Amino acid sequence: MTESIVSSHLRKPRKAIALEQISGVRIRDSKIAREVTQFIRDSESDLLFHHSVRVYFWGALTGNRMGLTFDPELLYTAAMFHDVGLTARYENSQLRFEVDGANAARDFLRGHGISESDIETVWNAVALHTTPGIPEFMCPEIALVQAGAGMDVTGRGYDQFTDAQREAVIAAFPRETDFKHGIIDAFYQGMKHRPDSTFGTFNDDVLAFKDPDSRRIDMCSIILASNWKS
Amino acid sequence: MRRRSALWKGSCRPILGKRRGLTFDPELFYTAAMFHDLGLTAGFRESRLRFEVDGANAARDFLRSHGISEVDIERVWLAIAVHTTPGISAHPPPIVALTAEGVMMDLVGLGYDEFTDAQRSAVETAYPHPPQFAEDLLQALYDGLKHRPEATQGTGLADVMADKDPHFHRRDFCSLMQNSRRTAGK
Repeated sequence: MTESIVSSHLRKPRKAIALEQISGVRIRDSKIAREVTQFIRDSESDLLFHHSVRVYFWGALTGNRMGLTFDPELLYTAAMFHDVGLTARYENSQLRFEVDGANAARDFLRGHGISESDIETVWNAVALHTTPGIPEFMCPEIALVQAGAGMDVTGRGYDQFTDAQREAVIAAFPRETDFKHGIIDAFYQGMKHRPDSTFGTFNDDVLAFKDPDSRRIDMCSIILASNWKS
Repeated sequence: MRRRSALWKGSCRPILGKRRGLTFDPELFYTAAMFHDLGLTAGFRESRLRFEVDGANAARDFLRSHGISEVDIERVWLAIAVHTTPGISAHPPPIVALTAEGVMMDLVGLGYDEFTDAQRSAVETAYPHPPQFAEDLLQALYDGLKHRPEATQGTGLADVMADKDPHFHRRDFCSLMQNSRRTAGK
């Protein structure tokens, strides 16, 4: 990545040089990466945008540590799109926000001549990034978006990064003041109009946290109350 | 349950599938439906993985020994692995959505009215829901999961653990976020 691209797309010119490479990871200076950056920059708040860039770095650093082979541009695209379903563009959607983001990434990539097989990888990486216990057995890009999001949101795998890695990523893309409540609020704003889409996921914890009147739907009650006689 | 799960779709979804423009391999779909709950059985009582992944891996191993292509195996693997993950019916390989929807029809009657009386009666006659099906199924889920409660956190199966075990503690995602290693604001 060149400084001018960082300046125009990431708007962090003074910190750009430090970002050029963090423990061997950098954002590719390619047409598609620049357009992904611009698309997400124009779509998301600073909080979600910076969170998404950090997810890319945590994911790529994890992939390198584990010796995985992955496509950095696909990982970057998936990381950057992973939360776009939380934005106001989807305020009328009843789909899971993860699926809105996956569809947005798919539509974006189809306009860039990416193969359907690679698009499916990105779709899965975005769609399954909140699904526990499954992505780690799938393609590296799918596993790494989930790992990166877990690191940034709940500190999962925190000790597997060096102090230097953590400090470099945070210095380049700082966590906002009270990021923790900020990200919970971003989840809530993106999901409060579609509580049913959180059934059977941990996203319903966000609704319960922000809205004392929300009621979790219990899977056992649904099974016991179905149309079937037994 | 497993047999019905495939039959529902075998009897009905080709019609819906054509309307949606979907095509799928009935044998791959049958394999996914039949293996989808295998991870709950006694052979996996040492596993710490999600039971869905155990079933997906078992189907993969089975299909490899039958010369099925890796692309098709991957589809079956995914269909089994995400059959309890809600809201992913937009997923590209049709058997993924069909497996999840077939399970939900059989378990909770989701989409019940989309089937004709004749379709429901025919499947029910061939493979009846036994008496106490819902209670027995919840018990089967619990028996297959109680040695690995961690694997249910953040999924719908945590409700089964909470229902059966008063000491089970659902993990709260917001607490995890608030108590993460980073100090507030950093």
